[in-house]
Amino acid sequence: MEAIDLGKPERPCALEAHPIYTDHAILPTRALEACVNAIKQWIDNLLPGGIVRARQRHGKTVLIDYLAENINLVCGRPLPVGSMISWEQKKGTSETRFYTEILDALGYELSDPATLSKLRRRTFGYIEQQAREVGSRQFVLFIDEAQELHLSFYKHLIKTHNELNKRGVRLIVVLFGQPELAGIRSHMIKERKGEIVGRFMTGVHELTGIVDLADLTRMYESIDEGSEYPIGTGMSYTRFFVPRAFDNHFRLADHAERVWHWIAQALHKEGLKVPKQISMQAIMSFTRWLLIELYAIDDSDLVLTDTLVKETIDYAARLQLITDALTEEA
Amino acid sequence: MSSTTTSVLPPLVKSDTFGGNGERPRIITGGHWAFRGESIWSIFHKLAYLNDFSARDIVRCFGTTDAQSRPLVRTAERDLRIPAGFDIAKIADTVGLSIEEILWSFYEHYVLDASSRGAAVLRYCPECIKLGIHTALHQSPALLACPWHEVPLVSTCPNCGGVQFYELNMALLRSPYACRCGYSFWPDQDNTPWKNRFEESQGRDLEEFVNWIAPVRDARKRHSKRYVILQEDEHDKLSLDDVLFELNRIYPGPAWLNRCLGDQLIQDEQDPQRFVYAQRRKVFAARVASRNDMRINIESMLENPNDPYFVGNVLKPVRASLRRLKTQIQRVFLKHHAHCADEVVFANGQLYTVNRTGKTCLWASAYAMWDKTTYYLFDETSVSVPLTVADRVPADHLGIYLKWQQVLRLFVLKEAEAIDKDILDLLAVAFQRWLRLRISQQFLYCVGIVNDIANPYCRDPLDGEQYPMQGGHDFQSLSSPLSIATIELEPPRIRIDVHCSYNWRAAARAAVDACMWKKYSWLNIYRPHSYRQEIVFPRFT
Repeated sequence: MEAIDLGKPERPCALEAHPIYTDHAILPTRALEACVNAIKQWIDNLLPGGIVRARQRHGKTVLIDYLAENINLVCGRPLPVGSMISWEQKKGTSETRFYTEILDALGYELSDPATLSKLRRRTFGYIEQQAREVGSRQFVLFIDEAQELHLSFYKHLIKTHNELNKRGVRLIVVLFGQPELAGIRSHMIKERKGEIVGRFMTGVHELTGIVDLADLTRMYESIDEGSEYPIGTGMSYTRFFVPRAFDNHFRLADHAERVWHWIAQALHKEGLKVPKQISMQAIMSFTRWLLIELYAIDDSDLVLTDTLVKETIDYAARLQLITDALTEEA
Repeated sequence: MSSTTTSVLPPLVKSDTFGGNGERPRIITGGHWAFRGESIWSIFHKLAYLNDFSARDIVRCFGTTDAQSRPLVRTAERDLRIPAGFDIAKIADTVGLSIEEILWSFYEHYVLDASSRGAAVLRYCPECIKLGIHTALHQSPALLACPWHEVPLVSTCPNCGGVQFYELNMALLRSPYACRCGYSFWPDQDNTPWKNRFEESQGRDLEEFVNWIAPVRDARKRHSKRYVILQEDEHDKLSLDDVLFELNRIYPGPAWLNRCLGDQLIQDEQDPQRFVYAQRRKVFAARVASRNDMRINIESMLENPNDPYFVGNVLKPVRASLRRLKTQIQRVFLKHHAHCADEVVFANGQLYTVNRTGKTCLWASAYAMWDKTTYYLFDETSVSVPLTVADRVPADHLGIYLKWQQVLRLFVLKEAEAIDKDILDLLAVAFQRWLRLRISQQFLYCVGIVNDIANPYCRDPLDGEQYPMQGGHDFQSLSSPLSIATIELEPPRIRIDVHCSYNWRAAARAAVDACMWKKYSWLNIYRPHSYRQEIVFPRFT
């Protein structure tokens, strides 16, 4: 790793390219790590599938994208992966639509409607090839918004699962959805849909947002020390935005308590209690704007004032915090 | 549920290119089975089999943007002999070959001449195809036997007797690697691995062939002066496979080529296919003998031009050669004026009466005139009456006519392989001299118009010889905005000063057309307000 001259305020890339600015950064919370570890455990233990439930704006979609891209690093071996988003299936879904959507989600070249037999052959063949190319016997499929799935979808999924089994490829399905996904699972258990629950809902995990000050501190510690951009430079996110202050021992984690306090204050002002889970969206939005503000006033004796924190919360996160609180109350 | 909180999130940046897998098309490829030289027909069949593709799907997947918009409509874009309609890079990426290697999948890579596209129907070796092997070389009409199995190549289905056109169509891929009648050429496609069926030694054989044919093909490129070499001057009606046959005789190719061209198969007369090989050898031997006879008796034959043997064996080949030379000269000399020549022909029908084509491009007019003279020179009837020919040829062309005769004698006496740079140069010089003659007339004519100078003679700038001018009405292509002030003839240079009242660029182009001069020349265009434009033309090569 290249040594960085600490006295230099110059950044290795433009602000506009930084993942915090472009909203491409994934901030590791305890909940996120727990979720990734749970999924890793399912894959390692050859579980055929599981569900991950979380409230809206808690980072499910971001997590799917992250996992789809970094599954090899997470699991420590090459693993083929595909991800798709469910569509509205009030009246069920046809097999043709199912395979067309699967092919489209997997990035198959021609996912246009074709005869069912062709679609089936292409789906099975393509998944099998993806697995063989990386020398794996597993294929992981992430399905977002899984609370929308109709029973017929699960039946098609079972056929696919069985057909791939015959070809020596184990399909692992991870369903991501709203909290009602747990209710759907309970309902299926009551309805004796063991073939579905046993295959795709074996594991259950809840992805939470920021639940307490410790979570926030942990996340800010990651921004201060555990992150790096551009990769290979050793420059953490905080150091990128406030290099002079960082060199003078400025750390976001030291101010986590103050941030938490003003978040609570902002909600009290609206007559609301701090929710049990604050969405990642709200925290990310606040942190992003705070760092951009600090970027402009970086100095060796930088001080994070209450006013700045308060104004940033009002500007960037107040509405989302209120929504979180109201949703929980409801 | 796991409750561990071990950090497992190494790179915490989500890439913009999520899901991207390079440019590689995402279809089922079945691993890396393709080999260098495997025909595109075979590759498409295998990919179609793996993905359940129709021909339309193949075009949508691997066609160029144009082809994708209207799949299977245009002939050139579904022809499997040429890569015109396909995205080569995409195919190469899909099957795991480089772009250079995928070009070996098209017959175009193995031909002598761009005009030859190989067999229009599928030709295959029954032994190779049983192993799932079909190379683009199998499509060569020159090869009558498989290079590796030495069995005759066939183009019909053993079940129904039908042929498959070597192109993408809906019927082709309906039943992969099979005839449309349902007969499978490759019965155990599911039971054996596709990889390594084509051995390394076979690949070397292909490479040997390509290396052998490459220099000849390069020499036959369109603007190469060696273009005429091995053209069918003496083998007038020989097809390309015969030319390849002849090429192999003069310039021996790979050892296996002789076997494929039929040498070893002559013995067996039971097989009708092999009889054809013997027949071809026989015909070719007769042609060679006839050429030798012609060479011996050439002098005596020239004395009696009405002799039918002379007409058939000497005159016709020479005329055919001249036609090709004319085409070649047209390419070199006329270049962008080909359409003008067409206009002249269209305007005047069979009579290339340049006198009546007042505003036609001068290059084209000169070419038409030249064409006319050669036409009459080598007409069967006119050759027998030289005086008639002389009447037809303008008087000032007599010198050229004599040179042509010399050239043609050389031409007839030489072997086809010997029509080399010298001969072409001689022809070019003769043609160029004639053109210069016309040019010098034109200049004086223009000057005459502008400066009211009446000069009954024009002078060839090279040899100083004077020729009578053909009257001022031969060429009148100079347009009105142009007026020539002075012309200085300093062989081999010429300087023209032109006045123009407007649109000097168009006027300059008109002047250049009028000049027809490709030596060093200066064209000075005066615009109003004393603007002077000087253009230097490159030396004619």
